[in-house]
Amino acid sequence: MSTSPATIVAGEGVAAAPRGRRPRPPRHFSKQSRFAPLWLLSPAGIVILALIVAPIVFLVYTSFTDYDRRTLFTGEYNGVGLQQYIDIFTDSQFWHSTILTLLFTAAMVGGSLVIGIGVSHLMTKLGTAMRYVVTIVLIFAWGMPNVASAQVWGWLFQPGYGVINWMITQLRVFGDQTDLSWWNSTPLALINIWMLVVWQAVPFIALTTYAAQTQVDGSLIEAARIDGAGEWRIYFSVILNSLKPTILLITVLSIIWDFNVFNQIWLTTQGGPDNGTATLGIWSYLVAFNQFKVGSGAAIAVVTTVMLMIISGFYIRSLLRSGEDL
Amino acid sequence: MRTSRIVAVGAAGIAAALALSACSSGGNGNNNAGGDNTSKAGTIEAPDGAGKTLTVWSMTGDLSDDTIAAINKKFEADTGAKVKVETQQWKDIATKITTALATDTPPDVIDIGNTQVSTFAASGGLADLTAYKDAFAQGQTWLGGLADPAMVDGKLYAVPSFGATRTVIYNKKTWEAAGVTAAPTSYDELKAALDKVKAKNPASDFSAFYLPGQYWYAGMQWIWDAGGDIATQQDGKWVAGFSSSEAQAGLTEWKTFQNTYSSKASQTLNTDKPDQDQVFADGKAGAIIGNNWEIGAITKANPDIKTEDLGTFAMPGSSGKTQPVMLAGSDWGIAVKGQQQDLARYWVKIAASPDIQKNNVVSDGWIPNSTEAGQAALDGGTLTEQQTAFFQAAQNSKATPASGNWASLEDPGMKQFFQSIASGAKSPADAAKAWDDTVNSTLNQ
Repeated sequence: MSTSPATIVAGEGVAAAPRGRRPRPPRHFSKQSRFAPLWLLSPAGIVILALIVAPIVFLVYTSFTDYDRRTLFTGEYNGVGLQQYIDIFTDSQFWHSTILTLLFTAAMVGGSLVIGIGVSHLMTKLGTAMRYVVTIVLIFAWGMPNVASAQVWGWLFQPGYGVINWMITQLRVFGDQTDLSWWNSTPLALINIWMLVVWQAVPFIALTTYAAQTQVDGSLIEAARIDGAGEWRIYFSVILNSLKPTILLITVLSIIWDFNVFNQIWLTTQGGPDNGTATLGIWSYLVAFNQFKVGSGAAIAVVTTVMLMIISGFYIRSLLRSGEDL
Repeated sequence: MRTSRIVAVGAAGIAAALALSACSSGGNGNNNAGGDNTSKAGTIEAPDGAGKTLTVWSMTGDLSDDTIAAINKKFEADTGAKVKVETQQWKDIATKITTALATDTPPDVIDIGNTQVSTFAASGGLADLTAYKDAFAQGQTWLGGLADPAMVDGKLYAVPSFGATRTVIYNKKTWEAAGVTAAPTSYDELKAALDKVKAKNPASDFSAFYLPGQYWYAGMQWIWDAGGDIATQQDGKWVAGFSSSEAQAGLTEWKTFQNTYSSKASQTLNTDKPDQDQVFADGKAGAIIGNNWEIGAITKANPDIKTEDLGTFAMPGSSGKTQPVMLAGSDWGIAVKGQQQDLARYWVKIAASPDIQKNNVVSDGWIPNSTEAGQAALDGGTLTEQQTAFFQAAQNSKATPASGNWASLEDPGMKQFFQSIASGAKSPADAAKAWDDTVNSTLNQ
């Protein structure tokens, strides 16, 4: 992340050249104009300070204390230095949750990108009427609050009464799966949550990518075709290449969203069975708000944030670089 | 008639309290309240509450609207204050109450499940009511399962509201069709009866005895019946007991019973999704373990099932006695940060009064908060056939560990522990070993 400003400077030589030469309007440093930006920014700034910066500062501070349920009422707590962090790193649940979170995030991001981009390509091949239908369906899936969709998911997959279990049984391939409990085994629970998350992530990716895909220069495709390239070759070398900046942006956003997926997991499995689906977010909630070890939960949240910053920092760097290349 | 009794009780209470002592602030320094002859029993008289509003958190499914209205009516008449009742849902309730109590404007009076009182008491969110104990008791002896969890280190933090137990509720018509005409009185008789019901109803989604795997309140009955317990206190430390041979025997028997008589789907479910009363009302179950109010829920869900079609009996245990039941129920707590302590105390006093308990609480179908009121109900002959079983089951009751750290183990911990055994995901021994570690480290932190 620290290298990204350097990247911008390096890229500026090419991309920002015309802009740099533009004559600047004369500046009048009157008192009013110097403070005007501050005044204009202050409402948003105050809100950000109060609702984002202050809680984060408090969170980091709390992670160095033994803040617990009692503290909520008495206000008493003690500084414990790095003890919370030492406890976390020596807890096997931390490593389990970390690996689970990383792999599960990769699976969700990968799945939603492949399906989303696939749907986008499909939409370019559809007739107008059908394309509208697909768009509307996608928007409905997207517009559903994830708390509601998790609830519906619970009904769809319910052992004994769930429609999906009934349909799987009707396939007559897997035998009678009517009573299958998706949330009683870790692999099935993860597959189930994966489907729920990916299902709601696909619309945004599909619509965004489709918008970008309609802007791909048709002459490039035509040229490739004249040169004898096949449809697959055209798609991977020309279209996907043009979509690269969009896909990178979507990837970064997806990583941030999927890394922090909470509702869909909590409302279906509560992190179970046996913490099998307890990602870092779920585990930190369980520690902070179920056991009310707020200090410990805060430390987990801080570690999670740092990890997310490192991962997304890498992507943001590539994103900035590719943005400059355009 | 009722008014005169209230006046009499009120007058007697006030007189007794006046005779005993002057007011006490009930502060933290008052360690020996009620312990010696200088005890500072507080009085609770109707304060002037004109223009004030008392906020009461009531749990959904607890006291009926009529009962709450009866309490409010007397409260408003005596004090002139208004009452705002906010009905809360059970989901994540421990988190919800903790956060509410920690704010500067908490609800004044809170309806708390009896197993969770110690949590909030231990953390300092509830007002110390020790000095007012006699004034709240109003001459009655509270049920131990309600009062014990409300006492932490000898101090009272909540006042019993009502009790409840679970018995077997069965469909008489289904059982008669299978050739069972009398309620079983032993565990073997019960199993023989269920075998007949099961043979008569072979459908895979039919449960002779619907017993969801996550329903740990019911599962604990088998452990207690076998002589096991959740945890016991030894030398000031909690020792979890699921690995004991008694608990293992109970868990194994429970698993066999569950797997034999309840549908496969139910192994990983709780009583709420799908609602077990709905399952029963749909004719998919011959029997369930349920609370008294579930009789009403069943007849409401399927009006073809009449109340007289339903039978109840205390669950027999393989020990030869009835299975010990969890004494469920609620207590009224007063938020320590509440600004209207005197009004809150007066409201709780009315809610705990013999008049409300003997009339409204009993007609709600709950077990009243004192042995006197419970006995009066049994003696009065006004209980229905079904209610009697609940009052009898309450004779052999248990509670969860009175530890401030207990509540966080209930959800999702206990549910997932029982589910993993019922589904066969883990053996009772393996599941108990891991869960005992968690219980020990949580209770003793």
